[in-house]
Amino acid sequence: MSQRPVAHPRSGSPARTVGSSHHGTTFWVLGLLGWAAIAYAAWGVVAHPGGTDPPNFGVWFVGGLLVHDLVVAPIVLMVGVAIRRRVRRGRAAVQAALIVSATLCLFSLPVLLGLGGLRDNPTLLPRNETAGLLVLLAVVWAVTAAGLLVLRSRHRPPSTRHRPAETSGGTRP
Amino acid sequence: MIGRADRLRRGPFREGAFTSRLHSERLGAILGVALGVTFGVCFLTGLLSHLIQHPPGWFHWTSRPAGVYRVTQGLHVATGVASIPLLLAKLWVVYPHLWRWPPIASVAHALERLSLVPLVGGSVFLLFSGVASIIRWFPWHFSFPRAHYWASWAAIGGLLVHIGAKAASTRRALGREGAAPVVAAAAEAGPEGGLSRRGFLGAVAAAVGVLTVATVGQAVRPLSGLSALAPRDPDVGPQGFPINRTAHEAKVERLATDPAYRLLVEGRVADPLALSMDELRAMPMREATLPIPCVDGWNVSKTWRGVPVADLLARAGASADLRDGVLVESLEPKGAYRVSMLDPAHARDPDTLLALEVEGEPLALDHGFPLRLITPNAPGVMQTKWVGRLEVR
Repeated sequence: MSQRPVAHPRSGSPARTVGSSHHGTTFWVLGLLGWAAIAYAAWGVVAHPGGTDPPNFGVWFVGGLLVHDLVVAPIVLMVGVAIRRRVRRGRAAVQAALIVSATLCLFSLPVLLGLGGLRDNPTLLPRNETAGLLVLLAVVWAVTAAGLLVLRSRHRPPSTRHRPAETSGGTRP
Repeated sequence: MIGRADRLRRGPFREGAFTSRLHSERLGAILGVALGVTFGVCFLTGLLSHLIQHPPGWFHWTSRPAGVYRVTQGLHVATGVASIPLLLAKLWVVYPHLWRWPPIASVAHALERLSLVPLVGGSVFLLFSGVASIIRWFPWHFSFPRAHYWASWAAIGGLLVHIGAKAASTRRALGREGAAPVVAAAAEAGPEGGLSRRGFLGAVAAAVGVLTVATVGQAVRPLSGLSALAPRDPDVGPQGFPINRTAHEAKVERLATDPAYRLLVEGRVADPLALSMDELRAMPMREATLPIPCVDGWNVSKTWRGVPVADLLARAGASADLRDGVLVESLEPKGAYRVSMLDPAHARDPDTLLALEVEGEPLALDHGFPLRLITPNAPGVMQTKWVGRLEVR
């Protein structure tokens, strides 16, 4: 592939890198295959309306994209900004624990909202999901707190701010 | 002209709008490779499941070794679940690209960005619909397996286009330790006390690990005690294992318990049969320990006892080749899974049974009393319950 060592488009200069000179055989071969598969998918949805219900399919397909890009991602970004402003000590640990907690909450949200399940089938969702989620969250935050305490005690920085960084025990174990 | 266009560059389009050092090319590349692997596994195992359930003429699924489908379908659901934190992390890392300026730089770039609609839309659709379906939540009007199948082609197509477009930059980002962040301003931000890139990856890996342990116990039995969020517990149900469709839901209670019940063996046979339960019990029985692997990702292995389908076909004088397979029909009046097709290899397999008993007890009504089809290597939905008729095609 012909690839010039050009600046990455982040650098603010108009995106030269994404011009055609950047694109070699891989781009066009995989591009062709990929668009063929996408066209096959579009045909499949339209040609089997009995099973796919194309308008409804379209709503859910595009809806998921929009909900993520315009609702979920901005909320996460705002939470991130709030954490950066409010959490001073142990911020990394809080962020990590939130990433794990949010994943678990998101996954169990439909069940917690009472969606899903079958009235006449007690073998589906037989557990107490709320209790399970609370226990998992408790474990996640307990492990995070314990990890933080261990790190703090191991790297207790000397009470001086003006000492050079390399004598303060480093940032990694 | 450029000046006028640049006046539109507002809000998230502004340079430096995203300041976190975690919006990094290297993180995007690592998460992208991980998702490439999980989506590849999901696509292939899903395609296999589709082919097994809707076999085109050229496809013949093997009946041996027993339990392959249990592994592939368990993997399908587990990798799909594991993809949730990976996808969200990836989309967050590359989010500034959504607002890049100028939005489109060339025709190739336009095609590349357009392919993100099937890729991201398809990915979100597949993970959401997959998770909703395993808890039996169907908030839409389409058929889940149909829509999930076609959406997977859209997503995998988008993924191929994306790999073609990003192969070079991914290789570059992975080759360099600590590649520069997407947003130049982040480099100047210096240590901010938050997660490092390595820490972020660690947290995402922890999310994958915890979510997996919290759900995979429905397929991997030793972990079922830890899987607090799994939709199924493999030990909970009548006779100690779950059911997908109850007798009540299938409306078979009366037909299945009718004393006049007869199993019919018909079609291309010399002597059609109509056997009562007593006649069936008088036939030589066979025992086999085989799994029921549900498409929803859970499975249980049980010891079944029943009459081999091959014996019934021989008794009815079916021709030995069974060229076009055997149709197995349930007493259910309706439902997408009231019939299943037995491929010749599965119909001939000595362990393919019409089971009367499980673990030494007569089958519970919810597990398919009076007869349930048990095959060594087929999805649970094809192990038809409340069997009323075999038809040699």
